[in-house]
Amino acid sequence: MRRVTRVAPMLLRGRISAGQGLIDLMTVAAFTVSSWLLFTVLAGLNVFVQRQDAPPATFLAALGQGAADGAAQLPVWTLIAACASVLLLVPVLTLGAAAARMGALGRDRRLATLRLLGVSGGQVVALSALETMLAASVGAVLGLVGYLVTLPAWAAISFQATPLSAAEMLLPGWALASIVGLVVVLAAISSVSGLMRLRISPLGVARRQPRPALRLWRFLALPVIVVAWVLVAPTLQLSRAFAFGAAVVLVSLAVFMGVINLVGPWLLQLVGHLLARSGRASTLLAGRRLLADPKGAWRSVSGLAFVGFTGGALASLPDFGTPNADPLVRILLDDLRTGTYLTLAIAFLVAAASTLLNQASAVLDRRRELQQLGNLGVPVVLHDRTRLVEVVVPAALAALGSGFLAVFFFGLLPKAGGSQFGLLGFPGALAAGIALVWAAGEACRPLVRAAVAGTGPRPG
Amino acid sequence: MNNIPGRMLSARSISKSFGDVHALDGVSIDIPSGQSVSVMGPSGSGKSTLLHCLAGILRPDAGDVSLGDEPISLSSDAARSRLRLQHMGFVFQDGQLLPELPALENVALPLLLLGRPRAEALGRAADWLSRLGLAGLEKRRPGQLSGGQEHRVAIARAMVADPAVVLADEPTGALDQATGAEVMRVLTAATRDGGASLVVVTHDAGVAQWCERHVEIVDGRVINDVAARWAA
Repeated sequence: MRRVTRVAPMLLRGRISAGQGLIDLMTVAAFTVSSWLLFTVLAGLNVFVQRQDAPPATFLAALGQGAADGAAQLPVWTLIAACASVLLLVPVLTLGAAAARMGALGRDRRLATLRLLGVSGGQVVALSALETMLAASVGAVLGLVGYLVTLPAWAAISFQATPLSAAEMLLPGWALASIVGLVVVLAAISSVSGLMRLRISPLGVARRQPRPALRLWRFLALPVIVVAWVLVAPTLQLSRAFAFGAAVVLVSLAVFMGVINLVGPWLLQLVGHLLARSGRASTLLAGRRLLADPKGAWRSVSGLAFVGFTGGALASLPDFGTPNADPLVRILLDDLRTGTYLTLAIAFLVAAASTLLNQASAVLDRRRELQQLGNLGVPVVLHDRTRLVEVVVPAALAALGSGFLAVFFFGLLPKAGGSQFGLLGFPGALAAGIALVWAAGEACRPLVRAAVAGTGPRPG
Repeated sequence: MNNIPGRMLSARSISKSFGDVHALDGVSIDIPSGQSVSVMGPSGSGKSTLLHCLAGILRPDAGDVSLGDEPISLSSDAARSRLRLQHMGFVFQDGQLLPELPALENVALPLLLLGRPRAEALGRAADWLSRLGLAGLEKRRPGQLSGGQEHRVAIARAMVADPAVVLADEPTGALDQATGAEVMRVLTAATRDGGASLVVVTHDAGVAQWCERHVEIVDGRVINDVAARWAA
């Protein structure tokens, strides 16, 4: 193994100097963004946990005589922050996984050559994981630097009538080190699991293991969770047994997000079957691509599913515009509005990065196929139409499906009714998200043309 | 170093099927140390499958393959990989060079994988490139070389670790006739000078004529096995 790892720096240096650095740069950039967001989200959650033990003086002063009652309500802020963190962590980690796949682009051919030279299958997987871990390490450290540099900027945002100070937002050293380690380990797992699907043959052909069709049980998870939630939600008494109720809400939220990721690919497979019956070449091609890899297609839009879920949550929250004399309620509603905007902003950032990365990966992955189709005389506009169907249809499905699920989830919670803001914000968030996916796809247009023309960055 | 005299590459009654297609049907062949052999046959005759079985890339369904006293077909994937690294060199149609590495490092790669010091590996690689007429092109990457030059880099890489046998699959398939002839001249000279056996799979009689022995294979069976007139 030591002999194989000896050649890793040489291969990396060669990739960079051979002009393939763009792909590595995009990989590192994606790891940087996902790490920075991970640091920031967890730091934000940590602020609310800290403030439970030591309520801010300005918060208590703003409450006046109701300070004691207000301090007792601080766990409510922590619960909401935890919900937002759960919502954000899944797409942030998905972005990291997408970065790992981006880094692995085109490695199959290179690894096949190494296999021909006598490197064993296990060694090539280890070599690839090593390269991904290196990129993840660089990205995580850059993300850490970005997090530290932007710490003072959080003072512009206030929660609990108190600005977020840099000192509050600074996580302890052990936590920072753990997050860097987590990013690197998850990247390695993503890389290895991706390569396990390839049988790296020394013949220069990395044969993909045939993907079995996704089973119906994935879809059945949805009615099961819905029925369970219908039974559980009305019984939650957040005001009485707060800790228990909060734990149930958090676990349920995580389960719902998990179910969305479980059902989504199956639904895309179903859509793929329908599209593949079309007589239009672009629709047929898009349908076949969805059928070939529904999980991969879902990964491309999973960030948007999150935006849809957040939009659905918005639609179910209390009206922010209601004037209220109680200072505690006023502060809570102000913070809900700030937190919602902040969560949505981060969600859009993740969705944009995730979509762009997945689209660029898809183009680079199909580079040879695109060039061959170009040689056959297939017009470039076919790729544009195919991409439109392939991306926008799943995006709309993901955003709408998850959005309605969120309306259902939050709508059944006690004391959470519909809101004017939400009714306006929900379709707005969906439209913005779908437009973002479309824009990300269009941003890859020059890459498609370069691939068809046989120029542009070459994976490994 | 690995070129041990008397190390014979042998296949005994090997068969290989892909689904319903019988690519090899009881093929036996012995390739003595230092001999050059062409394997000819029409498309789909099983000649590439035979080469891949001899190299340990594919494991035959039945029969044995061995290099000297080392069994290839019965070994694990890791053991077969090690055997390829230590005792075999490869020249394939598309060269299979790593595009990100300059010619020098492509050639040095097998030695680095064998654990040789970097300076020694690069020195030997430079020596082989020079012997094959590529001095001055060490820093060029595969995309910056002509087809013939890329093939010579692949030959240098195949020879740099002193293999017992070099296996070539349609080594001139992507080249024009003149360049192909030049590549075969270099390949046969390099293996002869290095004392390595050479197995060339081809459908081109012009390529086969560079070898001392001709094996013809049809429908997975050897139907002809003769010495070249000039070598007989």
